[in-house]
Amino acid sequence: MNHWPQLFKTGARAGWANLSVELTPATVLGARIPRTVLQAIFFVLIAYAAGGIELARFALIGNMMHAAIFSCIVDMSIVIELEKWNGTLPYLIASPANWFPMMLGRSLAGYAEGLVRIVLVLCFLLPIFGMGIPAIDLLRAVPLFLVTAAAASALGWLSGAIMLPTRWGLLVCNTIGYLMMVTCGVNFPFTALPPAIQWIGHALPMTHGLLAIRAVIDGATYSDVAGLMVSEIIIGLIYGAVAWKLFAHRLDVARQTGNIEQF
Amino acid sequence: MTAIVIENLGRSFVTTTGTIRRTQKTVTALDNVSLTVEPGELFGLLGPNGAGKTTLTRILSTVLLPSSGRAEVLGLDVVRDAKQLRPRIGMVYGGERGLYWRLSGRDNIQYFADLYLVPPEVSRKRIPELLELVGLKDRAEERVEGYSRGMKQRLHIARGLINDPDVLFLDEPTIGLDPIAARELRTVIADLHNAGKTIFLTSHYMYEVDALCQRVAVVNKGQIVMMDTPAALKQLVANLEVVEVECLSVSSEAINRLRDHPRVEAVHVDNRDQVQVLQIQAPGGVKYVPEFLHLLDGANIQKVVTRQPTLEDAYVKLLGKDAISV
Repeated sequence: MNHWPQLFKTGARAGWANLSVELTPATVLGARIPRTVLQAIFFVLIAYAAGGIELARFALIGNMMHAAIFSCIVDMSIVIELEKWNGTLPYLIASPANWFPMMLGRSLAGYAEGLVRIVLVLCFLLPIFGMGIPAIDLLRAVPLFLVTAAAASALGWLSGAIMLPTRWGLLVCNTIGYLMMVTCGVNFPFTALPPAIQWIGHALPMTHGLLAIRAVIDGATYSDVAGLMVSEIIIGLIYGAVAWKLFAHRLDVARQTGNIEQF
Repeated sequence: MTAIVIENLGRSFVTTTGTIRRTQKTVTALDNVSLTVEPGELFGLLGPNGAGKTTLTRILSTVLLPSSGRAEVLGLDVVRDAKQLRPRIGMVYGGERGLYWRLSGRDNIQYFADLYLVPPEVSRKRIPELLELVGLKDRAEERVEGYSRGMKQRLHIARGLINDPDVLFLDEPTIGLDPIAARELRTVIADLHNAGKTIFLTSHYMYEVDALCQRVAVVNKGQIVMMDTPAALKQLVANLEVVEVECLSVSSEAINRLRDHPRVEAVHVDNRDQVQVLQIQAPGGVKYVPEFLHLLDGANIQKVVTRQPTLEDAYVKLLGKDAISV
């Protein structure tokens, strides 16, 4: 356990290095910013047309969170994917360390990217739609975002572990992203969703975190939303535990079958 | 204590073919392999592609489980005691993979230092030393994706040494390198051996094991064909002379005619760019050159030389036709 901080730090540095390679002016200005902002504008516009400024505000908060959380899922799944492409899984198998804190550290880059996406959506959409959200309320939501992002990273890790033997992990991440958009109350009030969809939403990270964030932005206290955040943490822990066991199992099987290079 | 003990080790793989009607096939990669390596020894495992060299290295470095038999490294069972063994061994697999391309050379080594639980105060001192040892000190801050193949290979060596292992497994470390880079790497390996490391080296380059190793095992189709010193292996062909015939278009019939010659013990065909070089092993071979050339009629012969046998010739003799892939 005394090696955990060092492993965490090195993992965080590696995660940032992975992300920073993709942050060129061309990718940031040509894809990352437009993709995030345009998607949010699309859904907020629909909400604005359907229900005016109140519904637009609801969709804005939902879509900024979705953009951020989705990057956490994808970034964590890519961490696993990159191990495969880099051919480093055999070394991971043979390393004496517990690589859990390393993985945890590598997920941090996703949180940072998620926060940037939130800022981007706010900077572009608030003036466009003439809305205002007090900065203090947004800042109060940041800790809740970090907890929700951690839970979502666990789902990303699980997705990466499930898809490890295949070559289409990122496609599955996209499917998860759309599923969350439909089931987690991003564009519609969660309680207004059909019961079957609510049931799915309850089992996914972000649903409870998003409810809590909406409440805090609207003036609720942390204690008001404690129950929601406990649910979010429990869901994240369950996904994390399953992901951990499955990833370890995948590596054990690879050691038996010798197919680690074929992933 | 013996550094490496392998007893009747076997490993087979199941492969499948077909999409709808899947057919399973079992491939034996290692078949009843036994050998020992002494502490401080530089031991070579020589064999053609697919002989089982990498499989053996992976089992010994705890990445792969054996199907049968047992293996111990530093007195620890590679299956049962893998956790205790891992901090004490290093491994370097050939090729360009196995590194984080988006990280710098230094960050790669740091990453693995942490995974091998090297204390930060030790890694701070050791990482620059290793980068110096492998000649990457000046390029350490650059991303690995910009490294040449030789630089990546040297970084692999540095990574394999980060935990100051007692036993180092090197799986074809010079594969794909240009001659100068390969020579530099061999110097590094020799230095490590001189520093007292036990090294288990696999290669399919005869001159490499001849130059570096104290003992060598020749492996083919998962079995050890012979194990001895390079000098003893060369003794296998001490009474032979080798006739090398360089030609532009030799037919398989002509090669078979040569193989049927009563004095010929082995014929190895080496394809070098546009030409084929036939290495004909025969006692007193120089006397029979006119007969050999007569059998090769129409092969467009460019050059004929005779020479004393090398370890490569012993290898050719041991493996026969299978050596052709080398």
